[in-house]
Amino acid sequence: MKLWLMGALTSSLLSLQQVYFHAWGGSDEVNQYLRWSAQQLRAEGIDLVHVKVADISETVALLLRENAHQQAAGAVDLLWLNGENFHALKAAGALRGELSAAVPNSVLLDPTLGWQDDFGIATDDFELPWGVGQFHLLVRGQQPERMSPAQFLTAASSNPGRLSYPKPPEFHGTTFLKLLLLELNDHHPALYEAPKATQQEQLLAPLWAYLEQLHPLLWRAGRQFPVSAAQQQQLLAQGVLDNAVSFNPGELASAQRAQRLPTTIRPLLIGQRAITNSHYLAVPTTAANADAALQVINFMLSETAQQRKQAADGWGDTSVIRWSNEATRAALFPAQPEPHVGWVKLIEQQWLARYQQ
Amino acid sequence: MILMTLQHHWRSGIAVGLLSLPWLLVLWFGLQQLLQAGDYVGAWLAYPGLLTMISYSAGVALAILLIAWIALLSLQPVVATRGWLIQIIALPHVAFAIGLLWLFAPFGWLWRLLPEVWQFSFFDRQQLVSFVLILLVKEIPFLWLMGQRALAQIPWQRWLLIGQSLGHSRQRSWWLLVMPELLRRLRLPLMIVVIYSLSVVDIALIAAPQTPPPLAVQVLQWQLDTQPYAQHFAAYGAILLVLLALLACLLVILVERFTITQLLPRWGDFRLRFPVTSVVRLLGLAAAMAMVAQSIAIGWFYPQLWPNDWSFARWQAELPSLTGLFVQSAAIAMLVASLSVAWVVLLLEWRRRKAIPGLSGLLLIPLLLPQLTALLAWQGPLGQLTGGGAAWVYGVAFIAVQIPYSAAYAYLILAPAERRFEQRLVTVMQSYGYGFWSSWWLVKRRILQQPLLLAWVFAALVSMAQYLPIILMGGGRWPTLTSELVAISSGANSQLLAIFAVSQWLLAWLFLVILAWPQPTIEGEQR
Amino acid sequence: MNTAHLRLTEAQLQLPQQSVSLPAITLARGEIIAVMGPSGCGKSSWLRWLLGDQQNHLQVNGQIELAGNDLTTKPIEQRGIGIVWQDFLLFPHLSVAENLQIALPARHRKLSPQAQQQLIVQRLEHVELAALLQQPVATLSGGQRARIALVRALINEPQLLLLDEPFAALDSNLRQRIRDWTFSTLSEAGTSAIIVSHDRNDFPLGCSCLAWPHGVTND
Repeated sequence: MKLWLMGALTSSLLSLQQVYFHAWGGSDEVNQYLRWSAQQLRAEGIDLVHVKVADISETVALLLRENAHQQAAGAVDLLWLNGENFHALKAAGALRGELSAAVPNSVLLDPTLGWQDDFGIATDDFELPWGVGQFHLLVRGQQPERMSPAQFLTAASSNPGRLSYPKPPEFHGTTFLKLLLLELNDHHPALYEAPKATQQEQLLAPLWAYLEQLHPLLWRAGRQFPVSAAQQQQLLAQGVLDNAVSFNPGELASAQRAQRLPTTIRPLLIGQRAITNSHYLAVPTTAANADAALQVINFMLSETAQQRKQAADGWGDTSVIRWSNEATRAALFPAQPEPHVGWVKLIEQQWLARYQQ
Repeated sequence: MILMTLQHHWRSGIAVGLLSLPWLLVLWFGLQQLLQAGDYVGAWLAYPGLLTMISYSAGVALAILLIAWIALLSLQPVVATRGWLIQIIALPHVAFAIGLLWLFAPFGWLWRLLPEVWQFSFFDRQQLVSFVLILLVKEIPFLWLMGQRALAQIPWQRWLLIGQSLGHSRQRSWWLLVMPELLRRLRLPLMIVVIYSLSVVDIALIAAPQTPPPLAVQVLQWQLDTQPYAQHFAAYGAILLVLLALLACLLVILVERFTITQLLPRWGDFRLRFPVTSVVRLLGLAAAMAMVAQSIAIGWFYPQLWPNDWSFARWQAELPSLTGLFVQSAAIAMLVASLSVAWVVLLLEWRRRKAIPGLSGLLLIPLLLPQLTALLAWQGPLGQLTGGGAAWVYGVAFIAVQIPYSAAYAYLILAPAERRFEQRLVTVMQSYGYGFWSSWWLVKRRILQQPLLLAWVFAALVSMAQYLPIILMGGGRWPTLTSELVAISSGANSQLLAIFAVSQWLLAWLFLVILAWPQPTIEGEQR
Repeated sequence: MNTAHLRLTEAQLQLPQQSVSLPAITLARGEIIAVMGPSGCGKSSWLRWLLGDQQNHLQVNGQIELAGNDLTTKPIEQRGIGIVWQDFLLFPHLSVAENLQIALPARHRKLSPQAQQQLIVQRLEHVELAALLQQPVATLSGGQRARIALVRALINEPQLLLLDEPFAALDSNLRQRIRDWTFSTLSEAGTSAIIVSHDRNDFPLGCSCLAWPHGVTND
């Protein structure tokens, strides 16, 4: 939290360097973590200001406009992003490159986590990973820890109208579809390459056939879907639904501790592995305080910050660095790599064409 | 003489220039989008669910228009009521929708009280009916308030006497003499309510169907989409929304004409009562109470009637930052409101001297256009000025972009009262040797005190509810209760959301207390 | 040396429908001139032009000179011209006393409130209206309004007073009384005035009278 008058006063008194960090503000745990980070960074002469946005694509739209106008300096010093938003900013040349050279702690990054690709596009040092996400379901009641798609269908039919997933192209919803696509095709190697016209229909057919069966058993008979993972979690808490989705393996524990979700909720994997990807920090080319922003990234990748971030009583977000003591790493689900980004476009388009009329 | 004439032209020239410049920028931006290489119209027309989106938006607007119109016709019993209207208007939109759904939708709190056989789900999340109902409960108090304002400006009680002296019953005189004038005066507020229902995004995301969503939601989603085609789709969608809005305005006029010429002359001795006057009040208060309860509830899961625990701990933890935000939001809203009202007053005085072509239209454009379109269009030139600058530079920028939105409402409220003002009262003051603006201050401000205050309060409420200008133009330098509330509402923490919603409600409520100050009624307003 | 108090050159009024040519007019200090003509032919517009109130629909070429000053381009507040309209236009949000207080000439505005009050009371006692002092204007009768309006205009000590159909709103018994009272009050104050009316009874005996010229219809 920063209020300008107070902030300007203290900043000028202590000559702090301000860093405006645009980041999703919907999670209390993340917000608290950033408050803690801001306190730590004060000692380094940095005033970290969390600009809470409802959707980081608002900031991305702003940066793309600034970039199109070749503006010299902009409002954003640092942002938290991944996926489509990164692709767009990278393609527009709106991000500062060669980050690892400017961030000493980047040597700590664990190269085995697969963060070098962000949803199928190489990061090329235009962003550095901040944490790891693993897609899984949150389900009410005594369930096995893993289910095949067929078992999930059975679960849906034994209790119709109680399950759902966020509406694609919301990225949790799309991820659910990607996972089904992989599982229903037994991880066919072609899914990890750019889709060829000859294979598209054959590989996508099982997915659509499955959804034809699943949708009538879902909440509102599959004619309406939650708009976001957060909304679905609220519906789960309110008893409307029996499942939600999450990318953060530590989220359930913190939500249950805060009594945001009931204790009867358990994590569930579809298939044997969890789709794993990372979320990142990046500095726009227009950042007015780029050096301080890089210093913030450096802090975020330090052992202290990463440890605090994955602490079970806080955000619980999985770390991205190698630990001097390997036991410090939080347990992960087995990682499932992403299908090729071309398949993602296809399923998003075809899903809309089929189910949104 | 020529000099004076030039002087007048100079004023209206500046007015038209300042008023149209922002929209010319938007037009330029829109044209760029449309003319850029690549024809996307075909692909856009084939976008899945486009027709359904349009029919949702049009259907909602039509339903709102018809029901709001009935609510206007049944204004009579509401003439005297006062306090509760503004309290419902003050409720933050999103929190209000969330509160109502949490109370009444399936698995909601009141739903839990019902025996199983009575549990029905006509009011559910992502359902057109609930979307329309929530909009109505929120907008009808606004229409009634505007109706009360309009009545304050016409000597309707004398008109009723005249009608009675001509041998009509009191009720028939109301239909024949008062209602036509009232409908004419409420044309703009009715248009605004209908256009709002076309363009609203935040409530639609919670209450309206999403597969597909109403058009406005999809336009925003396209705008935030980074695919190359998406910006074009958004531009087409925005144009379609504007066309729908124009169509809705036309429909409002047609309905008004039909009512005045065909319906009212035939209506006899009956009183139209909006059946849910007290229901509207009850719903508003219930939503507010639901919010307050959620803000102190810990662990409130289905099917429990009560939460595991009540606690003020979270309030206490947030209080230091809430206090700062509260003061900052109030200061911003007051500044924007004062500037907006001053700007509208200046324009109205200029209009007294020389007609300003298209004044109403130019001032009301902000209510017609999707805000994100306008903000992205302004971002170019404004960003060059603010880019990386000091916090106050960003402050100037986002205050400037808020003014059109606040000024639109200020104008809506102030203009009808100003039009009826006897300007020669100011001339008389000038003839005593006072300058124009001191005459204005000593006489006109005093006589138009009520509409001026109402305009100021509405301008402040509009400013208080802004989110995108804070993020896009303020660069995040100036957080407010609303910007934090919107960010939090994108998450799953209902307690934190409720805390911010209640704080925002308190602030809005404080502004409205200003209106409740007892003020002597001045005969001059009613001529 | 020129003794005329008010001097108007020949003037051409361009109204939306017609144009009117006015002869040159001069007025000595304390003199009253009557301008008579039917309603709706531009008399009121002309008065507002004299007052300095700029109007869109009216174009006038002509010069105004009052007490040796050229007023033609001066704003209202610098002209020293007062006006009384037929609807009197008392300030509805003020009491009678406040209506007079706000009209006190600039040199009295720095006086203490007590001193100002005293001036007002004196003035009202002089015209036997002191009983109305604290009344809100909404409660005044038509005749009372007419008299307070004139007192208010005179307390400002204008160089010239314009009266636009000042008795038209009054009923016939009252009309004669207020008329006589107005003329005697005016002559006592020694104020130059222009009275505009459609009724020839509305003018004091022996004043100079100008019949409003016929307009020429615009093409």
